[in-house]
Amino acid sequence: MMKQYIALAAAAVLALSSTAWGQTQTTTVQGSVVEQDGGSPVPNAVLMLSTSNSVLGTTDAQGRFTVKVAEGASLRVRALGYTEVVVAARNGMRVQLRAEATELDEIVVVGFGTQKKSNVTGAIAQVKAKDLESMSLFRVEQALQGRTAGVQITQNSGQPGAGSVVRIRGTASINGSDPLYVVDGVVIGGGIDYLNPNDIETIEVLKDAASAAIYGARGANGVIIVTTKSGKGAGGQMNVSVSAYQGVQNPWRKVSTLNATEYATLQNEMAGAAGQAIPYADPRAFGEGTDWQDAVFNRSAPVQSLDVSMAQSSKDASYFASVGRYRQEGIVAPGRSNFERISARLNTTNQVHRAIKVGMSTAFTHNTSQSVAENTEFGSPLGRALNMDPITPVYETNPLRLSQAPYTVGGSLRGNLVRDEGGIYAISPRVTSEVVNPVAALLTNTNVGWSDKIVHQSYAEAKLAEGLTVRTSLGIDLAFYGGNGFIPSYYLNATNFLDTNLVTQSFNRAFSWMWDNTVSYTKDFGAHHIDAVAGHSAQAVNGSFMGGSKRDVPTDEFGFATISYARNAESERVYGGRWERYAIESYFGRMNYDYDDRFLATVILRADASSRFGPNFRWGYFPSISTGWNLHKEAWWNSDLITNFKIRAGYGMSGNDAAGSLEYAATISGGRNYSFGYNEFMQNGTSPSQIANPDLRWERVGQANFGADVRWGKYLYTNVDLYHRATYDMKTRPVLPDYIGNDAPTANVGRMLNMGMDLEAGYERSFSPTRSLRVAGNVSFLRNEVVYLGNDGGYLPGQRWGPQGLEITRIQEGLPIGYFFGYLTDGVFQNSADVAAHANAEGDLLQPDAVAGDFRFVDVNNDGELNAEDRTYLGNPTPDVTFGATLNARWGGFDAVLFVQGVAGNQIYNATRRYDLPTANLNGSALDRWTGEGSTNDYARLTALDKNMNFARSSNFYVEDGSFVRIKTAQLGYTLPEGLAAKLGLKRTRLYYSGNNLLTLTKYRGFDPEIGNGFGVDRGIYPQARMHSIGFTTSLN
Amino acid sequence: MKTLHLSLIAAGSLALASCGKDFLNVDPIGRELEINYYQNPGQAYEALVSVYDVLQWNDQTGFSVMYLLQTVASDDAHAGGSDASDQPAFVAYDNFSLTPNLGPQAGLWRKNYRGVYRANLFLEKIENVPGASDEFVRRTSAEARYLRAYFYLDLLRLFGSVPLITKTLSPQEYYEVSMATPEAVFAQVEADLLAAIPDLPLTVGGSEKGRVTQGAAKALLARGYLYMNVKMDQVAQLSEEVIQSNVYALTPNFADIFTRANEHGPESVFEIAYSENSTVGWEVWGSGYGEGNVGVQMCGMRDFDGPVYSPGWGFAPVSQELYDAMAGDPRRPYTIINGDSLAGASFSPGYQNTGYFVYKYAPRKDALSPDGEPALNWGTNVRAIRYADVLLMAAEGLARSGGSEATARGYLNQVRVRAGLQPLQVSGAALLEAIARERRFELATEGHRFFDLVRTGKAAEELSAKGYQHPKHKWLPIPQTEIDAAQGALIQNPNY
Repeated sequence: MMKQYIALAAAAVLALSSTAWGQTQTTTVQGSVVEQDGGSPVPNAVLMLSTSNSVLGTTDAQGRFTVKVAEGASLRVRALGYTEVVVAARNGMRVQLRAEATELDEIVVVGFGTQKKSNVTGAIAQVKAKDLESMSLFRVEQALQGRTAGVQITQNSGQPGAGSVVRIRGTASINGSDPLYVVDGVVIGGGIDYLNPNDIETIEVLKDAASAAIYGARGANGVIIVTTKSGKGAGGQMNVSVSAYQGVQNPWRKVSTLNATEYATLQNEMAGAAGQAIPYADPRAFGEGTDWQDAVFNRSAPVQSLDVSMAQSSKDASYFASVGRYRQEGIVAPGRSNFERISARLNTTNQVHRAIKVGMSTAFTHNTSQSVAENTEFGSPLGRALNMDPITPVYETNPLRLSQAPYTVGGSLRGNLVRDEGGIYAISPRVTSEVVNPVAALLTNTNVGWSDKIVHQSYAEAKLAEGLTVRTSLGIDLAFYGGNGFIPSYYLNATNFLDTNLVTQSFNRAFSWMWDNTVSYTKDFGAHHIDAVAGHSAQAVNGSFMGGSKRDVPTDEFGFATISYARNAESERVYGGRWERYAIESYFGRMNYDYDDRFLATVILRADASSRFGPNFRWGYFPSISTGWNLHKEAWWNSDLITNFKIRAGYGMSGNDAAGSLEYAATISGGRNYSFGYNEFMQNGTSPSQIANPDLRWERVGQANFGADVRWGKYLYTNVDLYHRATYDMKTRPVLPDYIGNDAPTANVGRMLNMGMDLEAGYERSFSPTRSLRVAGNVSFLRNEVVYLGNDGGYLPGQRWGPQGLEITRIQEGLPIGYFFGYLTDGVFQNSADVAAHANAEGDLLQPDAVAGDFRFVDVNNDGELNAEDRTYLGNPTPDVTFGATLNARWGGFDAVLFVQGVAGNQIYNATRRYDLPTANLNGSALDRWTGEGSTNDYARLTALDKNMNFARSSNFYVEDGSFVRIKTAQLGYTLPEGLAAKLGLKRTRLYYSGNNLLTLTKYRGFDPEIGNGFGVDRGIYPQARMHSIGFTTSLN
Repeated sequence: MKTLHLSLIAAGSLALASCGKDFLNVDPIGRELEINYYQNPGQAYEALVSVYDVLQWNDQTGFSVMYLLQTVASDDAHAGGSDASDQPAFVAYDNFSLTPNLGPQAGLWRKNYRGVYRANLFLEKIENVPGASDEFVRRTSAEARYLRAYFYLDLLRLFGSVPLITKTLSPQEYYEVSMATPEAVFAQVEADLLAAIPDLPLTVGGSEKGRVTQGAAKALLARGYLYMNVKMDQVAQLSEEVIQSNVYALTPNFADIFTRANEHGPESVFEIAYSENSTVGWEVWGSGYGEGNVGVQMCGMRDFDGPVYSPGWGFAPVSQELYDAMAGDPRRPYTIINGDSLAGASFSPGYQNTGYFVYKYAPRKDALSPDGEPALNWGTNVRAIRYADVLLMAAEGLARSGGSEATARGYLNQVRVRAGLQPLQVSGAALLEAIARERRFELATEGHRFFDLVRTGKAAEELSAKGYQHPKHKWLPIPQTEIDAAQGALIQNPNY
């Protein structure tokens, strides 16, 4: 970045420097700058004084320059894309610049080692710090979203601190498809939200089995390797960097709902259609009513980030240290939804002996968060906001109503009505069950979660002989986490109340250690090169937990509520326990071979044993082989069009030990109690928790990958990968009939298939040191299919909805995982003739309860009856296409970033309305319901007595197009001229504005089409925030 | 050479790094493996308790409260709740809009088969428990047989034909089951009870109250014969054996039967025990872990504010018809709460409100659990078989098998006199009618009425106004989820 502004600042600096010139003897130096290979001239190269970095001039189109310098001075020569050199100034000099390593000659981390990118034979994606530094990221996964083909990142929600669903090349298993995270060599449990994104140097994604096999047993879902920064690049003096941003977030969309007048009108219509009395004589009297979304949304939620880092290196040692703080308020429920992360890191390396190097990385993170319920039909703030009737006010102020039930009972106001400085929150007399006043409900639960996590790795590396290195490393992941909760006494409605307040506290500790020992050997035999590593790894995880609760705290203030302060001794509860240890032991080896950098091959073998399986099937073996050919390095290659051409092919097997402790065994569980005797003397009862399966074993994923990396001319590159990813021995829990009498065990019977194509293309070009353009895009095509489940029914029940447990998704052979399931509508009956016409061959009506205005459901299996057998495929939650594109442009001191991301070909199940509660508010689309012949064919009539079950069935009425394109980030930055920065005592300094989620194009009508944790089912999710922020990054000396 | 040397050292150190043999073995924490269990009488006893445990389950796939559901299905009560959408399963059973996907069947099916499984498992394990005395094995086996019969009698009365499973199934046998006729299922019930009776104690001590006795087994068998309309002489004989055992007696004052103090009282032949001591919350709902009687919470008055009672959810509002039919019966105030006439009290009318509520299992302030979720921790026991029921069964058995009408009348009048009514002097058809009438009033809202109507063929006549169709609604539909899961092994009941 420095190069860009140097030229711009040249004039100013020249002027400043000129005062010095008169004092020493100066001489005029003419010369030229050329490429080392081939000798072609390098235009726009910058010439500076090596001592002061004062810019003296630039080369012209022929690479020539003329500068005036003091006698005996040295010149620093820089040009974009070349390694800078310092040479003694001499008239007639010819400076040779070596082209900087191109993308393909970079190093990638491959697990227990690194490899030249040009020699990689698997499918590995890399994201580097320089790609991220201009983004205001708050989670590490965001660094990958839309930037790497084949890696689908879906944020769970917009809730502060919420994680993401990360799927590498699709969902490989019904039992957990999260990738393995390895940070600085330590396998991390519980996600990587402890990481400060500013600490990251590189992220590598091992996508295919040929690469991931080195992590064998746990590589089936792909591996994400994070390497944090070191002080190595800092170059002698201490470099201090500060970056900060401050932003404000707000919801980008409100969902259309009925206002009070519309609500009352439609309720009247529903009552009328059901032959009931009209409930609202004058709907207009209610006016607009309450906008519950306005009541729960936070329109100016702040976000702040501050990060300071120091780095320094010398010949023998380096360090990188950072501290950071990130705070975010949510856009829902002001004060009830927020996240804070405080992080610190120290990474060091030391060459303690000519042949021995030691190093460590230590990170500490403290998180606190408060969250509200989301994506549930049983009471989330936004779900309630959509369903609560708009007639009910936020606060009840009418004295008459307050003097009656439910507010006043037995002559006095209820003590546990929810109230605050604004008054007493209203209770809806219309909508019942979990749909309570959403604002009041927020006050009835406070839960502050926290975590303290320390991740440490120490290593020692000894070079025993040329090419032979041994390394031992010990990793530790120690996490404490828990929560403090308080539920004041409250009364929200007849079914949601609490008479005595309750305080809860929980405390957990998880500890994992990991010890890796490797021997690596690298050697050239003429044009043959081998690079081999062999090792042993062991890891064990332990944990414990404890918690308790107690009632009757003499306060309704969260801050005062503790278990010790609570009064009701009888209600004191405590629980606690330890985890059953999880242990894994592995042997592994990898051999990279290349012949003259032209023919490439990698062979990996790994053996793993997991404590999660019984002695019969404890060990699993995971081999892989991959090969490549750098065609452009062949002597006969001669193409100006294609300057770089590598083809790759590989196949490998990796495993997934996603199983619970002792899942293979039938264990005896207690709590099956019963009381005998006059005094209800509780007897302990025990019974098996499930049926045993001693043959439980590894799930395996076999993946074939074919790829080609091509550089077209100088500026354009494309990478293509085709893959076929088959999961074998997938663990399923067959749905057993209840008459068997106990829970079924899991068994390795299922198969799943993911196949697709990952495409990446980029165009990078510098027009001058201050003008450049970079465009990078990627598209992934994915097809997922559940091949076999091993039960004769061929399906597993998926998600259910509502109090009646309506089946809305299924996992079924031959169909994508978690597809939407239900009846297929075929328009609306426009008149009774339509109803009569919907009959079978015998003339029996298929829908005898239907009348005009009801949905016509399709007799899918054509058996002449409309019944549960007619439920069918309605849509797929997994996108066919995932894409992203980034545009970076620099013009002088200005730079712009545009990052667009999206998915296509998926559907969303919009289950935000409680159809089982006829009085719940409706989506605005209800205004386009069927009102008479010819009115619509898409939305059935409304009635309080829905005999045809228009809305009480799962049907494609609820399924919407989930495709979207979103401007994730748009940024405009300005880098201060060096002179100005220097006056301020700063080095490289950039100021920027950043906008997140500025624009989303989608047909989906819910809050947000990005639904991570619901597998495509929207039960009232917490949408992504739109954010505007300003920030800066700067380096101090 | 040096390189080779060092490589060997490196390889050797790698080999040394391998972990010990126990590294990968997991010791269970806080639980035991089934293969190491059932090794002493204490563990066998806990396994027996787990069979009893299923008796009290009322949280399977919704509110599966047997006695309350049967009351709702009968003409004694409506569904109730907050509104029609509160508990659709109750509404569907009340107005017989049952479908394979809608109704209380899934929970009741699941509960009873879980009980059958645990009884089967116990009967398999008890054979080989080291250190278990003969007496222990005989008694506990008899209890397990009784419990298995109890679950199967409920299954056959609820569903008609069901799979008859008398051992734990191996995976190969999961889909090999077939539907057994009600007669075949009942044959198993009969065999289990006949086998259990001699091994059961006549009475149990104060700390064992609630465990199965001979009287309970005989009375249950009599109930089964009555339902099947077979062996009326056996109904009479078994019931009279219970009567003549002199173990049981009518509680002198009808009003006292359902008090907490009278749990396991002299009139209790078999009681399902609930406890307020488990202090669970909603987090265990659906798992069978709770120990409370949620039916008590359900039938309470909504938002009740006043003396004696605690607020409930307004389910099973008692029908006007039952209230009127019991006019003048001294038992009425101890069977039906007239909510509107309670002094100094108020409540919110719920769905199908009649103002009348179940008295016998009403939530009473003095029984409110001190802790846990109050709704889930009512300790009120369910009087599953009362001595009054046995007396009426004896009377009916005698009357229908050509036994002594005088004796039959005597039993009937014992029940009437205790209630404060005049003895009757009827005979023949009038006697049978009097017994049926007495059953309705004496046992109202205890969950017997629906089955009494079905077994006597009067359901069509008495319940058609509610939507009952004969013979379809004699039985619940088999849950659709179960039909799907059974992969063709099950056949849906007719007309569903």
